[in-house]
Amino acid sequence: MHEPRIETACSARAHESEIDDREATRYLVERVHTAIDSLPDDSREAFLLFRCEGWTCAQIAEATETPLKTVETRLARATKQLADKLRPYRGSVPTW
Amino acid sequence: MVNPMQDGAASADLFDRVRAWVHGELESIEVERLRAELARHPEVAEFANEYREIHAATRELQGPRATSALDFATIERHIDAESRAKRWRRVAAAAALIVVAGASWAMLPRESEPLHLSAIELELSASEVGASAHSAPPEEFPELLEHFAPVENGEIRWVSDLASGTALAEASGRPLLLFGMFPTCPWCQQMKAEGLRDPAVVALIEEFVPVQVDLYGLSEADREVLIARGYPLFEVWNESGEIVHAFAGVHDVASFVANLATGVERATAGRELASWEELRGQARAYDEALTNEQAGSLGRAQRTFAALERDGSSNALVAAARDGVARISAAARVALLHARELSATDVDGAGAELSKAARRFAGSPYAADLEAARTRLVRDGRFPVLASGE
Repeated sequence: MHEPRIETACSARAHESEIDDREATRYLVERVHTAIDSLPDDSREAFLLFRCEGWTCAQIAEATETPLKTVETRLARATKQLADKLRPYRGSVPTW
Repeated sequence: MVNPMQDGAASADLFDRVRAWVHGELESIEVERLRAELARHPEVAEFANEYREIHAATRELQGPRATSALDFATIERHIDAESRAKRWRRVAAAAALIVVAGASWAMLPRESEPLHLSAIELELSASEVGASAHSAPPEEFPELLEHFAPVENGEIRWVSDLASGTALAEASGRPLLLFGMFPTCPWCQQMKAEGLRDPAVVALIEEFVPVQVDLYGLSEADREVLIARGYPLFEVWNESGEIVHAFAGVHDVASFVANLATGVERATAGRELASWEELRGQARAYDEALTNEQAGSLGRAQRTFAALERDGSSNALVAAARDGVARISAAARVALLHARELSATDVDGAGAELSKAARRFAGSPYAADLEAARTRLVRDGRFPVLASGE
């Protein structure tokens, strides 16, 4: 693990070090992957289609043969879990 | 009729609109509507706040940022293989396309880049919010200025009512010279017959909007106020209607010229005044822009308004031109968003609307945005996601 890199990247940003910014971003991406991995399957599916694929809730409901309300519940649950898990890293990357 | 919005039920696309809002794809009126709905549905509002919170962090999951974006294999890892095979025919088909193309997962056709607008503003601009704040209605400018000159054939051309005079002063950015007199007042007649005919005085009157008021013609209350300031009454008002210099009484030419010069200096604070010919030209240009706007030649109107906003010689003319620019900017946004709305049911119709709009706005900076939207609509078969240009 490269936890200390976060600190390195933060201070490096002040010195406009692009390399460390990239490392911090990469570190965050790893945390995002880990957080997504930890989601329940159905919530993860709904979230990835909604966030990354740009599908509407209705499209997800249709494709997964799930009631719309359930899709929304899964999305809300996934989003809440991700927010809780990623909140500690807020501010560690220039774009976040 | 039951209104589900008021009846407690969230609309079916509320989550989708939250995403569009977080992604900056909603126009201001839609944002207001969404906020109102979220206020009635705190559970979705919570989702909105959390989705916004993770939006930037999960940006790396999409878009063609190859160094940090997830590749397809990573996404595939997140999606349970069994359920994908069973239910997700569309995902599988997309995956096959990606493998064949050798492109990144984020480059799926449906993930086309937003159309960054170069001129059309998706949000209401400050100038639109403040439009029509000036006092002179735009329609009056041509009438007021186009045919006005303070001196004709070596004689002062007095404006006979104060309201027209102040409107002309505001429209022209010129000081107003108020001459309050009684027809039966010998000193007033002396000034009219002598001082106000002197070539040196007439030459200086060119700087003003000269207004001659018969004090008998005023209401008793107004007359008393003006008489108390002395007569023959001479005052210089700035374009905002504030008295900057008063010199009632009979003056010889030298004194009168000196007072006029003081008045001009105080009213303009050293600002260089445009010639009447220039002002009349600007008024004609403004008139033409209004005509073009009403005839639907919005590109031509926009160019003229923009030039007057930049180079207009009075605050009022600049403000009126700014209003014109704001109206046309709003019209461009409406045309674009109307086409977007239409595209949901009629892609060809939306393309035709954009073509027409691009012609109407030809020559303005908005035409390029409209044409770009049409090109993307034709290419992709759907309206592009719109993003304000930076």
